[in-house]
Amino acid sequence: MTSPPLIIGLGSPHGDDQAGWLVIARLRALGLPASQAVPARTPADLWDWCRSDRALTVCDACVDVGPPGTLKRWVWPEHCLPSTCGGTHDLSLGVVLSLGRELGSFPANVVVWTITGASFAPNAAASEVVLSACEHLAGRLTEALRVN
Amino acid sequence: MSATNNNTIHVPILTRVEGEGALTIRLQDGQLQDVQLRIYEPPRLFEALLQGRPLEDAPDITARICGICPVAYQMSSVHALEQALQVEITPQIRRLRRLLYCGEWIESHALHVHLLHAPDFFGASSGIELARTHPGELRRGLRLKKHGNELVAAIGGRAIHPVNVTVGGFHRWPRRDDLRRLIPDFEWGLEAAVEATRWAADFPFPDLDIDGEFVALSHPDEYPMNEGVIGSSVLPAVPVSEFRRHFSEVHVPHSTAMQAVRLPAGEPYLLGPLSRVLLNRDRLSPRARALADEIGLADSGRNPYRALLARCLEVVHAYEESLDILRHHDLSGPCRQNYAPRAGVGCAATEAPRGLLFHEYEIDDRGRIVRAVIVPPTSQNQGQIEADLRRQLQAQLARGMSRDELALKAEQLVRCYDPCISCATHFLRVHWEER
Repeated sequence: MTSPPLIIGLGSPHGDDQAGWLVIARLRALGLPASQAVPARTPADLWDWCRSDRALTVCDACVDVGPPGTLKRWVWPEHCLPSTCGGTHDLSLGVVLSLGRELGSFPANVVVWTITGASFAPNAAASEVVLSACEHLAGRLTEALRVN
Repeated sequence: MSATNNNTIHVPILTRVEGEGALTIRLQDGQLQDVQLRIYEPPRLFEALLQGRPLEDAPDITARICGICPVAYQMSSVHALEQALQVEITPQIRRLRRLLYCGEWIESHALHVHLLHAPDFFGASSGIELARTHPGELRRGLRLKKHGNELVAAIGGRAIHPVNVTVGGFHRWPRRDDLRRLIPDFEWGLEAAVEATRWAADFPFPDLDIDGEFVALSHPDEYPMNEGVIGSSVLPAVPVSEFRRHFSEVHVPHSTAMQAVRLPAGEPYLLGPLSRVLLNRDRLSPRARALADEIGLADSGRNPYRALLARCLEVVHAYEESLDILRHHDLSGPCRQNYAPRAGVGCAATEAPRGLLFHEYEIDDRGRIVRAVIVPPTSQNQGQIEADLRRQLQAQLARGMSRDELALKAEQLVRCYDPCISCATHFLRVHWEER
């Protein structure tokens, strides 16, 4: 891997579905450049940013993986991503990663952090527990980048 | 994967279709007894959900019926409500709606052609498997799909479930720069769509001709999207306002989706790109029309497997029409026509990627929805899909094909129609008793 690692946060403006974006906003506030911390709306947006020689971390909200605010680290393809991760109306994150690997566009392994949400009401603010989890995750990611 | 015994072939879940359905094939003494396309997703109750709500809610609520074709639901709903309100939209609004629809056709068709349907012609179990042997084609398909999403986002505010469509027009005009910026990609996309059509024309399509009626909107001046009469390959065209006199939905016990039949005979019929091209071929854009001649679709236009080619031609058409509008867009005038609430009934049909989508609304004098009727294309196509399955299976049984192969071929035939099962599961009628 020759390029700096890339972190992409998937999200939408709807309640805790903002989790991925919140992580990215916090990472940028902590000093990570915009070229390394990117908000995106759908997994298919990963095509615009990813390369096989660049380590990739994806942050996304999910449901039913522990109580709200739970952070969980997955390593794809070693772990099967939760089916709730990614949208139901477009290519799922798992499909996008699999296609990307076959097409040589994505790295062989991708770290996926899920943040379990509680409410996904249209245009609602994120819940306190998710806000806190996102802040915590951004801190961990920043620390990991510093160490590596 | 299928479970079979001597008398029944059961495909428990159909893959690479939108939504969840299954297929049951019953045999008696080696002869075909029955075929059932079973849609088992729960009913979604949208028509009841709309009752009592402000008419302005309809475009965004009905768009939620489908994540693949939300624009179609928005278009049918606004046109139906505008008819009820006697609202006339401006040519600028009309043109921008066509551009929005082009985006949906491109993203939906590109996805189906490359990721859902093409694998069947290469013995691949998925688009991911096909990517190993045809990476260039898959990359192209993903890029085309992305163009469609970007166009919908530029006009509708977001790629999935756009939010800018409203009764009377749009909440705001899109930014001119957002439209202009798409032109280079769409110029590339037009050529790529032509390449994709030529690639698909060489697929080994099985022989099967639909022995039935093809139905699609038809417009004298343009390829049908938002308006026209209901054309047919068999019967005279009828105005959209008479849809419910000529077509009827019926319950079947094995499906949560209603099926539709043509009246008075009660026969199934086919909607979708194959019907649209068959009935409106001379109104395709110039490149798409020339390509239709080149690949000989006119000579084999009744084969459901070749619906994939019709989809490809419509992608070419959508790129060509999009470029024309993007290069000469006119966002002058109001983005929305005002109206006053009034009691009335209105209906409209537009052409979703999968075929004619009918909406009818009754509204009261306060602008509340009294009654809503939504007839999605996949509901309408179910009967024709089962009829075509019967004909294919009878021929294959006569050739002594194995049960597993029969099941695989049947599933492949279902995919030809690009069914959107989630759209179709809306049937349940709620009966309220109040004391």
